[in-house]
Amino acid sequence: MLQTKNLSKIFTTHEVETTALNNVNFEVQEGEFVAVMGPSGCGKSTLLHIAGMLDNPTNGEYYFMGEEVSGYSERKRARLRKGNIGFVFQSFNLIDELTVFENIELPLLYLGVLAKDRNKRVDDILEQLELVPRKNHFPQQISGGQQQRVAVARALIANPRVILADEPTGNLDSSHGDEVMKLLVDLNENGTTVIMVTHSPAYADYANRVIHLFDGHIVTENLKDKYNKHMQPLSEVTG
Amino acid sequence: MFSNFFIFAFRLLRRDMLHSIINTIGLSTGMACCIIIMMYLQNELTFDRYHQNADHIYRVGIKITMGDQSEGYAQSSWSIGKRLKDEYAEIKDYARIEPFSGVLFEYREKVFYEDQIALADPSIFNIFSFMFIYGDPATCLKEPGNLVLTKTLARKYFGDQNPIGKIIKLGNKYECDVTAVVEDMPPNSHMRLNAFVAMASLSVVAPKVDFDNLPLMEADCYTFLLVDEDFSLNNFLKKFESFRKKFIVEEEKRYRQKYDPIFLKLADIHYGPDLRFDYPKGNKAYVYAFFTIGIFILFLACINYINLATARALVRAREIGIKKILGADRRHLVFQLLAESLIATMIALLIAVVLVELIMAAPFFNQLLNGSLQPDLLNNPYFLYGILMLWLFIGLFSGLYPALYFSSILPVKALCGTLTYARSEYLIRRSLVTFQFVVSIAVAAFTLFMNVQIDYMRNRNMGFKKENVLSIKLHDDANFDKIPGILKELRHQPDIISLTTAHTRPGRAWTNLISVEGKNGMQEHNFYRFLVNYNFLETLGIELQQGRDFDENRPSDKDKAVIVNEKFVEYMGWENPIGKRLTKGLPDKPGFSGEVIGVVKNFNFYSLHYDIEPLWLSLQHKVGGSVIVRFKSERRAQVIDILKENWKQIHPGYPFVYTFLDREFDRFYDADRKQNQLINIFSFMCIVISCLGLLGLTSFNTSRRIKEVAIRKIYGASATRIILMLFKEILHVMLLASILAIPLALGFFHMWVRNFAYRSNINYLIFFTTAATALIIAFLTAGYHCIRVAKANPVDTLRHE
Repeated sequence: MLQTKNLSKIFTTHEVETTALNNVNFEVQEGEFVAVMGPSGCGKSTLLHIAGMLDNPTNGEYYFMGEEVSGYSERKRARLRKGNIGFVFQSFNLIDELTVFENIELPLLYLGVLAKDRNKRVDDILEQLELVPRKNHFPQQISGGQQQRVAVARALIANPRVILADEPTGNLDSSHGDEVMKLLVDLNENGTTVIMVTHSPAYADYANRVIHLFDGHIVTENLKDKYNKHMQPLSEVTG
Repeated sequence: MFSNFFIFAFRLLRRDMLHSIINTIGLSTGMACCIIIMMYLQNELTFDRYHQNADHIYRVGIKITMGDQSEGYAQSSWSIGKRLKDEYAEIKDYARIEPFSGVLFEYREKVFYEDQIALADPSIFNIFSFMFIYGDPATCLKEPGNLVLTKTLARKYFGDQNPIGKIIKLGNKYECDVTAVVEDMPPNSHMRLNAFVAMASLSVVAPKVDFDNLPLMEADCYTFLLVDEDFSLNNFLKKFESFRKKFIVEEEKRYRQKYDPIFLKLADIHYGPDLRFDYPKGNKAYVYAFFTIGIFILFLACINYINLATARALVRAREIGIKKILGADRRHLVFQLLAESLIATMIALLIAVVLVELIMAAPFFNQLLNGSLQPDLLNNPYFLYGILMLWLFIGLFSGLYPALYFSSILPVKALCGTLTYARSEYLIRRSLVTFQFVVSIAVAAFTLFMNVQIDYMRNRNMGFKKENVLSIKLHDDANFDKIPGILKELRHQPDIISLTTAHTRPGRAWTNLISVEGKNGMQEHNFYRFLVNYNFLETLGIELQQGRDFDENRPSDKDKAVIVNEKFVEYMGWENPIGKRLTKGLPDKPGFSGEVIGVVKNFNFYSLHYDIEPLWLSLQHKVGGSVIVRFKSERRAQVIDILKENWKQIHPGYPFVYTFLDREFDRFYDADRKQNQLINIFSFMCIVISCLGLLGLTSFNTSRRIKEVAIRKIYGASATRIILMLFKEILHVMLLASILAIPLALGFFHMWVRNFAYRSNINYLIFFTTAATALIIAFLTAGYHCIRVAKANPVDTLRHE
């Protein structure tokens, strides 16, 4: 579904060059739940941004659903992103001026879905995520956990193939964090591919596979038997 | 989708109340100014166009040429209308109008002097468009004594009654019957008449005069022609030669003058050529000035919106980024941002319309505009259209840059918080605010220059004393036999310094065609003349330069003494003016013949818009015109009482009405003063709008530098030092704006001052004063933001970084 080949990202400010990603090769199959871990500044978010086509790599190739998109313009990337990728952020990134309902409805609006259909789909997801009583509230009127549920609902509403979550539990206490993780696991079990950046080994544990980044490189990639909760080094898995 | 845009825009406005209020005040103030300027311009540029036949009505004036001297007159002969109609099929009709001022109207106990009362042909109602309230346009001016009143005048004398058939006595002797009432002439009429008396009345007043055959050379009334729809002036002038041969050639020989008609389209009169005896003209300089100021205000308001909108870029970047990530493309965002600006502009427009209605209802403003602007905006299709255009223009123009700017923000930068203000963006904003202050300072300096010029005109030594002088008009049926005795008695009143009578005086002069002794015999000229009585020079404090004043002890002075001004002497090139001859009248019918006995120093006998012209003074044969009295300034009330008492003997039954000469002269500058006050108001508005712009810039600049300020503070900078650092930027903007404003203000002033023959010196200190005031206002405006940032706890700032 997603594949990178020798992917690099270098940020240049004036005369200073910072390498965020250095020859990263990784692949995510459809239906996988992949967690990306590593210390601050190791390139996790950059990888997620490139995977979500919010940014272009400096070098290397990136295939999204078989299409090489590394050289695509913002316009082309936006078109491909629309409906295929859902984003969940640490800081929720809800729009303060829109109600819960309107925030969730937004991706459908840009997809040109008709109002009647839009309302039905948003109502369904609100019900599914137990947000119905909050539908007319503004983000600042609900708790952090609820805000993140709204963000997940918004990421899901267009039935994307991939959910990219950037530290989705980072701003939440453990009970709300667990709630959000349960949502992502459910999603994954229903067939949605999930890539999640996290600092928390406990939450990474929910994933099928964990990728460790350090200084822009992938240092380990662990395939996990999630039923036995047993971690295996990547080398052993690939034999 | 659109409803979402609107809901979102409203919530956004509500959330950021401070910016929204600043923005709305700026926009609505700017739009209100633009609407008023639009109304002013519409009024100015549509003079007389409300007449249905406006494009087919011409006024006939005349140009008289004597030697190399030409003079144009707005009036023409009583006979030209009929002659033209008889000769040319394309002239469908004609109407003559002869207006009078100070006509005594008397109905029962109501006795008033009325102005702009016109003798008129019945055809005026066929040629011009009048709204009849009572009466029949076809018959109301047919018979001698028929009187048509305008609504205001009818109400003044008869209240809400139907006045048809009522009798009003005019000039204390002519009984006129009211035959019709018409709506008042709109303010955008070049001549605004208050009542019409049937031209047929002339057959009673002057039965022996054959008005249809009076010489064409004598211009006495305004003549209007109604022409065919396919009339072409150029073609008509080609055919005019036959008329010239038939009627003019002989007269030219007799008068020794060349005659040319001046055909002026009705709608062109207001901004037409300067002609003698014409109604006050529109001043194109004001039209240009107001138009320019209107455009400036429009841009100032737009700049504010742009600056305030983009100053919130960092706040809004996250929202834009999220929307992009969720699938919004650039088109969506541009639409959304333009919709926001259109909504903000619409709210501002609604407030502006209410503001305009309130402003127009304010007595001060209404007076300032002579009640000439009708604020009935919603019933005026032109305005609705104009306002719609204004809304679209401001909405789209000011929304476009923010729309393009925001929609180009990269989502990843917006979400990572790596979006920063580029230096170039700051420079753009700074340039825009500098432009705002260039305009504001220039307009403010211009208004101060105008003030100086108007004060200069009011206070300039005119060459005669106009203070503490009053003038009382004498009417034809005064007790003239008693007047010399009464005046003699009044002269002995201790409170009266001097008094005289005169038909013409400063402020009211006429010209006469005269023959003057020149180097090569007698030369004909059309010069201003004062017809005065003894003590005229003394009463008005006019100084003799050589020769002597009129002398009561020399009876021959009445018939032949002439006093001229220095300009006359200079014009004629006389080395020794005393004794030079001067005659008035036609060669075959001489009238006055006199010689120069004295020369007075030059004095301005009209407003300082005009230069001094050659003038001659001679004595009245019979007392008449006006009584002119110089009195002791502290005894004004007593003098008025004394004169009022004597007035009963001179004019029993006439109301006692007097004017002060200085106030009369002051009124020459009324139009200038009013325009100055208007421009003052607009200049104030420019400053208000610019200050809002500065507020936006400061808010932008301080948020841009908030981190820098925090770091500086951590390393020891005091709040005062930080404030000074932030003020330094404002100082640069203001200094640059002040320098750039100088040529603009001078340009405005030179364009305006061209209308004055006498001009005040340019006081460059005004630039300094304006710039300093603007700087203080700017510091006060920006102070809040600067102090807030300077006093903020740096830890709080850096924690958010």
